[in-house]
Amino acid sequence: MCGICGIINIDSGQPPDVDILIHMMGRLRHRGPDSSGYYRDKQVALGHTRLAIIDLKTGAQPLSNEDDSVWITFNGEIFNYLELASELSDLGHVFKTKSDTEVIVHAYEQWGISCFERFNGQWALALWDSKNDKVILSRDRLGIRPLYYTICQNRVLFASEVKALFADQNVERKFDPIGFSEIITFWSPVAPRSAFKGIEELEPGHFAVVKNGIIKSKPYWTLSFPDVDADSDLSEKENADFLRNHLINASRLRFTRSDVPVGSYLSGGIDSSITSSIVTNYTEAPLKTFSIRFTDSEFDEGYYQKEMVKRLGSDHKDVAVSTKDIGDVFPDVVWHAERPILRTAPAPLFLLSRLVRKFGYKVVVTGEGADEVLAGYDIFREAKVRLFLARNPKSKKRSKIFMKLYPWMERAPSKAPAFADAFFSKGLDPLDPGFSHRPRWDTTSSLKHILNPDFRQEAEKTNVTEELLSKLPGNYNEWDSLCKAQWLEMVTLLSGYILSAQGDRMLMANSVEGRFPFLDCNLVDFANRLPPRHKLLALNEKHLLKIAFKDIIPESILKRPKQPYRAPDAASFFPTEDIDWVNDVTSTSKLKNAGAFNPKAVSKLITKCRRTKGYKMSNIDNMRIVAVLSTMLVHHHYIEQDGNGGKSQMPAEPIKVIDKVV
Amino acid sequence: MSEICFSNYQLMNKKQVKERMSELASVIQDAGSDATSLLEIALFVEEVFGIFLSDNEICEKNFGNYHTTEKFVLAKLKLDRTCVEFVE
Repeated sequence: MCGICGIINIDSGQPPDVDILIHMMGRLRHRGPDSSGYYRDKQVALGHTRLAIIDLKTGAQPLSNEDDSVWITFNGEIFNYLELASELSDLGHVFKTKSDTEVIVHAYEQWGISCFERFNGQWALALWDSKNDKVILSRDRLGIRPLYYTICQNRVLFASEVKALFADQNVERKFDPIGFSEIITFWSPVAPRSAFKGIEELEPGHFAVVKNGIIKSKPYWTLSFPDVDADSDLSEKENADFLRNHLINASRLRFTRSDVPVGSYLSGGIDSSITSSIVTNYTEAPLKTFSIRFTDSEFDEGYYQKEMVKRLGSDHKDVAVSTKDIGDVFPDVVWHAERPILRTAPAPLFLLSRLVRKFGYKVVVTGEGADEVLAGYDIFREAKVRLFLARNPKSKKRSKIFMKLYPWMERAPSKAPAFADAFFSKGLDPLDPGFSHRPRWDTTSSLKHILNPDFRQEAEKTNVTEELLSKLPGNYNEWDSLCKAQWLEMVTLLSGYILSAQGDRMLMANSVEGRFPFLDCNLVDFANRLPPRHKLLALNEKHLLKIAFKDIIPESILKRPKQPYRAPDAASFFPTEDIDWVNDVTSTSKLKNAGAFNPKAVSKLITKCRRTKGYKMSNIDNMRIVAVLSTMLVHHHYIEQDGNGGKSQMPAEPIKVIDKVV
Repeated sequence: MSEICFSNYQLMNKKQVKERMSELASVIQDAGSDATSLLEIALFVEEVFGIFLSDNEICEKNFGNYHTTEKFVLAKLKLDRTCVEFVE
């Protein structure tokens, strides 16, 4: 895990500016505090900040192939690198290091851009193929590792994080109203769009060829599901056995392919309980676990965490998070997330990775991805019951099944059946390709009501839901409704929010690498071919996973109702004593300057928050206030200021320099 | 409102019917015994066996336990004769 950046000249006049490159690397120091390095010739400069995990002695980057014609800067891990290295050695390639990075270089020499299909890993990288005068950018299948780029003054700049692009003062720093519209609809911009105008994110599962100033992006992998009438030849038991084997292999790879100790997150839910149990049951590695506790019992899962720790016998550490803690770290959280967010949930994860680092760990395995890949989210259950009603909308009985939804919510459908009936019964057109997500999108996009009218007009120039639905895969209509919902969830929320604002950024903020066994490419391909009912059996989420691991997980955890990870929102920002930064970023002058929100509407919202100290707020008001505060912090960090977060940092030493210009 | 088309589930073979019946047992167990349990079983039956249920059919008599549900499903699928040797 590392930070990468680079400059590609479009015309070959001046060589890339090394000072700008070093500033870009400095902005990525948190991603790579162990060392750094750069390569530069007349056309290309590649920068790297290193978090040393594999091949601690000789794995420094950038590095090259045998004749120095291919150079790489790489962020991530290729977990099957030992197998690939062996295959490439047999084919005559000579290795100078024991790193997974060098495997990529030789794999590219051997197989060209089809090498990416062979990688089982999580990566963002740039390869400079000087013989063919082109740079290849590539990103892992599901978007675990980030990669942004922009074109500025006849150069292509790329980096792991947008803040590094802004190290070049010539790069425009401006909100993209359409990207903003995506955030307040899907919770995240959808790649290639970002929150900033002119900055694009390479799409997950894609590579891009940069040649003669033209960037051409293509997929090497697509998220796909079988047709609705395709059925697995395998029984539930057989599929459970396969799933178990896939997950054990995926977890072992992620726990053992490291030259530094690997820890594990333990939320108290099924997913991380299983990955942690795999360590104790199937590896020799000692287990260190880390958890978030909440001082507010509504959010705390400590009871289940303790139960698992007892079962695992792990060396366990946790961090108790209060509303004050969230309010205190939120400006830093947003600087790292570098986009508006609608929930405070990333903040406790920021505090958790800080705890991990404090105890000397720089790699953790987490249960991320299980809910998307194996159908754990409430939105999949919601879509199923809405479809049940859609089959007979006039039924007097069917709508009562809404009471099964969201039992953990304070305003659960079981407590407000009339409201639930009206809410979930809207838009019951099963032929709508966005059927599963329409209630969420409609709810979230009501945030537009507090936008400044001019900004809203800009934001609504593109109908972002229709745009997304116009890019569906060709055979999408042939998929089962659950698979359609999974596709929408993975293309919007997973890569753009869960793995990014709440994942990579919160981990890397404290120089910690996350590894995600549930997103192993073999497991994902297998899971996508499963009969949908094996994933979500009636309304029982992650059914097959529960069967597959019932012998090693306590029944109390297997049978506990799904509790999504959440954190206190508005209550984090309106204690008895005002928080200075909240007052500052919501001043009328700042709101007018940013231009995104209607100051009167924000003032009204804040008055409401102050009256209740942020408690007992509706779901939408909670999202509104977090959206306002995070947007204003993004504006403060990245538009008013230049994105350095108040820190002017140099990349970590030692610095490996290969400069062919000097 | 467009009509939803089910796949032609009547073409399920005996092994598939047997498999789904064992899944039905899990659903009945998971659904519990509250006011919405029958609805969850009905949801599964519609989804997996491609049967459309009227409000009158969603009742304790048809979905009260595994055996009544199995009997009801087989009758709806008109597979009683061919499947009975597998499911009993």
